[in-house]
Amino acid sequence: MSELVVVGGGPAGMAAALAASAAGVSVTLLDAAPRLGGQIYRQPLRDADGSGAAIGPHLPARFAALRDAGVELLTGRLVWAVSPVPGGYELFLATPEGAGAGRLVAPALVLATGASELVLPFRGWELPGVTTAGAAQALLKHEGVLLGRRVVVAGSGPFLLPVAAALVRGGAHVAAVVEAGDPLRRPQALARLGAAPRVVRDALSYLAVLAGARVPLLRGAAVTAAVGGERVEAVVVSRLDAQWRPRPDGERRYLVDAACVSFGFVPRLELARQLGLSDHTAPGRPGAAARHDGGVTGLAGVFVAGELTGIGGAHLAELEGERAGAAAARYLGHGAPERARHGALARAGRVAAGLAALYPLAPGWLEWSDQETVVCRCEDVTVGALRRALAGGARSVRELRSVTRCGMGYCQGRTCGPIAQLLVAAATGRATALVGDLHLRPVATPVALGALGAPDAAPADERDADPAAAGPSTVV
Amino acid sequence: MIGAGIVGCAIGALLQAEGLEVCVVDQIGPAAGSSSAGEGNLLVSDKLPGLDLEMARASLARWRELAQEHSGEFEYEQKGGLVVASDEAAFAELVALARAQREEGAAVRVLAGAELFALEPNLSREVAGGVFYEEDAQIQPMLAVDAFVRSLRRHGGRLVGGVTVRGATRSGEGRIGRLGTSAGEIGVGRAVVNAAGAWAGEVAACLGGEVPVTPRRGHVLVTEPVAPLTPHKVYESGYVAAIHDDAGGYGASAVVEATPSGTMLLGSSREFVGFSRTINPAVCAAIAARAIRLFPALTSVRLLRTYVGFRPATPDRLPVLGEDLHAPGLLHATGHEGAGVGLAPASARAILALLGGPSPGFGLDPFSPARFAPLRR
Repeated sequence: MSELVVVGGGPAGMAAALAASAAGVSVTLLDAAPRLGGQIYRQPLRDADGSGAAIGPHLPARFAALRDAGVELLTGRLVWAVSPVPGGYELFLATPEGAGAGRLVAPALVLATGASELVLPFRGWELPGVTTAGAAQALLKHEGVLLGRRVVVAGSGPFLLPVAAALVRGGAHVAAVVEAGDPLRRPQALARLGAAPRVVRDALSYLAVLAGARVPLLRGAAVTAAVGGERVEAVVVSRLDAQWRPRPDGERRYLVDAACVSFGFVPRLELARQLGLSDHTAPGRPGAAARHDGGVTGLAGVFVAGELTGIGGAHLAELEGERAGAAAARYLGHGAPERARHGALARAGRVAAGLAALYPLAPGWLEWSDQETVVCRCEDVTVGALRRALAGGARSVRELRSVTRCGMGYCQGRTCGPIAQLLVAAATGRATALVGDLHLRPVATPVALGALGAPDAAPADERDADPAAAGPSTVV
Repeated sequence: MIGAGIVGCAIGALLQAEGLEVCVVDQIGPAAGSSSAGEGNLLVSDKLPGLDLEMARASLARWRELAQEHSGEFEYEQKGGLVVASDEAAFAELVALARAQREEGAAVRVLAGAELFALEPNLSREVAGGVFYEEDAQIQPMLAVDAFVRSLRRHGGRLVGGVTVRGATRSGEGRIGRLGTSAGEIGVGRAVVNAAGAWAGEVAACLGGEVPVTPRRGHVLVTEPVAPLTPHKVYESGYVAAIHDDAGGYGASAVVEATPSGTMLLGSSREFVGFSRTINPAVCAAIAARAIRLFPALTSVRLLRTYVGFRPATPDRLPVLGEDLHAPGLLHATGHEGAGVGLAPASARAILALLGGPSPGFGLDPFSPARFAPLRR
């Protein structure tokens, strides 16, 4: 049994595991993917040397450090439930397919569960070939597969550039990068990034790749329709006004076989909410972020780091992970030095806030869909059905869900929940924080009923008895 | 009307339609409490012969009429309930209960062996026998609340969410004249009805009254959509005993049913843990294990979500429908434990009768708060 379980093997989780381990804590690091890295540093399933160097230049050293530190790696495992028990916390594990994978008990936890992608609906967005930008990137990184040959990357936020650049490098023809916002018209926010050479350097490198491939970069524009039969064959790109309403004049069609869309990220709060941690919602944004004070939460022995605490990118996540790992070590009595890099954390936090200020959401996206556009794909709930429920008096996401089933399907509102939240806020004129969200009824990931286990069975590490289950943990 | 759950909204809609002027207030909004945290059961099968069964059958008759009036609006389905016994002794007890229920008019069919498995092919062959209750039905309670709210508003009634009740001002005769709330005062002509479900005890106290209601927590497990394993509601005979058992622990007893959307709902548990909303994975495991014992095919079906709800429980497991002994003008309509959805229409009839309307078709005295008088100091 480890003293500390870190949930999430992305930048924050890896840093937390290393920091705690360096202070002498025995650590188990869990991740859903077969290999570490998280969404941002997702590793190929098969690569030449297995070093991870193809994904991030500093990853080989990081993986080696985790191996050398003796951090127990448990990959291909999700946590479907967490609950306080005497002396710590019990985690209930499952495989990504929903089979049971035993339980773990530890005196302390670091939650580094990351974020999921925000996508705003438009006509035809449910066509095959339209995906989140993150999914397209994951497919490319993980399996080396291009989603399409002729691709448009659309949405809003700093994430569009690296995805577009990766698709170009992977051999795709990127027909356009379509940014709904206009960061160049926000000189004050832009100027704040001057203090962030890393961000500027990265952005310039992506822009260089895109320029080399002559990819048009559109600002103040959006994909407002995808058209096609079996799958997407073309997208309609519209010019937008400052509120993201399509302008009547500017419309253009791009022939594509894939469209990658992203409007930023929403923290993954399932486990934090199960534990009853408090959270807060940023004005105008959907979802919520876990509250903390230097990674310390209101619950003894539970620490948080990374995107879960607010969207800030990999660099900030790493710094937060390091801080949370050290805090957990101190909590466990290991006397880790208070060596949190306050200056670096504050700088990275300011950069993250600057980036968020560059890419605010605007309500005009409500005009990109029509009554038949499906918002909740699991339960087939249309924009029209949601608007009828709102006209009928629904004032919260909860009420909307009650009368439409929006968010009650297999994905439990991961995609439609933030959209429903923005929709209710817009229709009622209330803040997103006040209309609620769909992170209400926790089971963090679907799990087979047979895997829940008999109530009296001892919490055993079933993986010890099952070499096949233990397999992935040897791979970094 | 305090409380916009299924009981408050059923009463509100009926009173408004009968010509009274109704204002429903709720601390959150429609169906925000236990009405959205159950399974939407309309049952006669779990009712003990006597008062309990009489009221339930009157209420289910009214639900059948409502389902016709509001055709298709809240997924009403008279699917029938099958209660199963795991061994011969439990089966004998179940059959004895069913006979007593039949004497009072309930439609019951005792089933064993091939007949049972023909009705329920996916049922475990370990089951000793069962009783089928054809009157048992299911609705989607949030949609039913929505239908009541629309009816209330259509007739000119009001519903205001986000309002907390703070206290009452009394008139000369000591009756409640004005209700104090977080949104200002509301004038009261006839009565204040406390339909605050599991929260009714707190509401009564702040209005100078008293009602012995405690939250009795239950977990529900919701699975991914699957081809229906059963067209009925199927539950263990131990469920009825669990309702009347005050022992500690989870009170787990399997209840299995499919919904029109394809998901399966699995219950049930009974715990006295206050208003704690922390999901207990051990309770989920106990429910899953018992449900799998009835339907082995559930083993590989995936759990999508769980939720907890708070049943308003009274010491004798019967609802409280009547005027508070200490606060004239305050009528209680709470304490339905797990049967609030099923008993909502009958409760509405009862409150209408207390306000001068026709008899609801069952005796009201046994439901009066006066029955708890000897328990008080």
